[in-house]
Amino acid sequence: MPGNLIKLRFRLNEVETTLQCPPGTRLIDILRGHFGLEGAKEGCGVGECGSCLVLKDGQAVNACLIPAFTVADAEIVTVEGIRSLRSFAELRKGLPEEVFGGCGFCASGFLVALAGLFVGNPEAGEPEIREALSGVLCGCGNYPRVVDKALRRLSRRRKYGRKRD
Amino acid sequence: MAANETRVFRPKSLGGLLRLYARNPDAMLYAGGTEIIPHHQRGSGRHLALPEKVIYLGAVPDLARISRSQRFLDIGACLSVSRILSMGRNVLPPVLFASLSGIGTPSIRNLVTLGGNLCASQSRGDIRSALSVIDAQIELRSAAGTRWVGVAQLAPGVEGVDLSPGEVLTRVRVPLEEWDVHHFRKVPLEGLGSHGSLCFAAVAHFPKGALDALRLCFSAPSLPLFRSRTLESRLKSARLPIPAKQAEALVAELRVSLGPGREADRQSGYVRATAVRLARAFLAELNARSLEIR
Repeated sequence: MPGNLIKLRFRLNEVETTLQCPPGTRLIDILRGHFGLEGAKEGCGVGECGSCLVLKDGQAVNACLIPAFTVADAEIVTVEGIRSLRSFAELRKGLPEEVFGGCGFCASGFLVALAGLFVGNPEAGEPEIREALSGVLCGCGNYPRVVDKALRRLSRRRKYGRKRD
Repeated sequence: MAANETRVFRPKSLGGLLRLYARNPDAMLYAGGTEIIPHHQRGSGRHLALPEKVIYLGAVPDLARISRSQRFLDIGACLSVSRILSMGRNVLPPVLFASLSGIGTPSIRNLVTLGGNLCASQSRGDIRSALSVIDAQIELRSAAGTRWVGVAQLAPGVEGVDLSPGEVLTRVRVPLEEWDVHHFRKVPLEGLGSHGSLCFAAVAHFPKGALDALRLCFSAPSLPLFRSRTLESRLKSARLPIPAKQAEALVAELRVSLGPGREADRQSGYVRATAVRLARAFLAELNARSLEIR
């Protein structure tokens, strides 16, 4: 490839990763194109729909707004990581189990938004959940169902404690 | 400029950043990128069309520090809005907390930085209006030295202070004064063909039922940063509650001083009418609050 490339080293779903790419490559394209992680989807491409959310250093961010050069030394977790990694086992217990109804396009955005919330605030309640989900657009109108499932999961966890999880 | 010709610098210290920027004053400073990236998307391609030189500020620890004394809160310019909000309502002045909470979605607030919001766009006045009413100062540093200016002076088209070549906004100093009323409202203007909002920030202090200090600030694309010092001084020492007749006279005066606006008539007319309504609502809230306290 002509021109300058940058060499990136970062953690992707708990795996040390290196990659060479042009500095202006977007994170969403790195994930989908280089690593085949297609859970994060490109919707609007300008950070408004939330379907490309990933965790960067524990915070939910829009992968369509992240150029490659800002990823160096960062810890990236995609929706695939949230579903399968051991370090997220505890967190996963607060997330709804099945994919939400409707077309499913926004499901990964919802899951990552909730994961980002629970990483920073494990005791989050309904207002915080609603606020966290406000950045994910769902054309099928699944918001009440997602909030309800997240709350039910959380309340069950709080009621029975960790053993029953 | 093609994306693959971009050179990215990642300074690790403030001194390194200032020296680097002095040598490359044409470089683009990159913090959160939420203003920059949407404007550099190249069609449906997979690379951003970035300029030839980019300086990434995210690796400079000095730009991401918060310190607090009895009188001030110093906030690093590269701190994200969500990180600043995490300090909580009890630490941040409520008018600033409200303005920060109204920015974007939670994931966008994880990216937007304080300095980026103040520098990057002329159309977003959320933080600027809130910082202006509490008389916040910004620190501008370059290899040649340091200077402090008021937030209002950064606003384009007002008393405009442009950043000198090689100068970087490094931190914002927020005074921690006691105010009896904090007020912030944001009205989107998207329906009027504008990518921005009308923001209104106000604070007031009224010991013993008389206004000791009142500050009002509006910000919109057609009204970069408007603070009516005349109105503020007119209301100083006024007894509360302000009689309805006097309040209407003040609002009428504000309507005149807001002027016809600089953009298309439809938008500037709407902005002016809405600004007047917001000011009227604030005066009503001020009266109600003063009665509550009494």
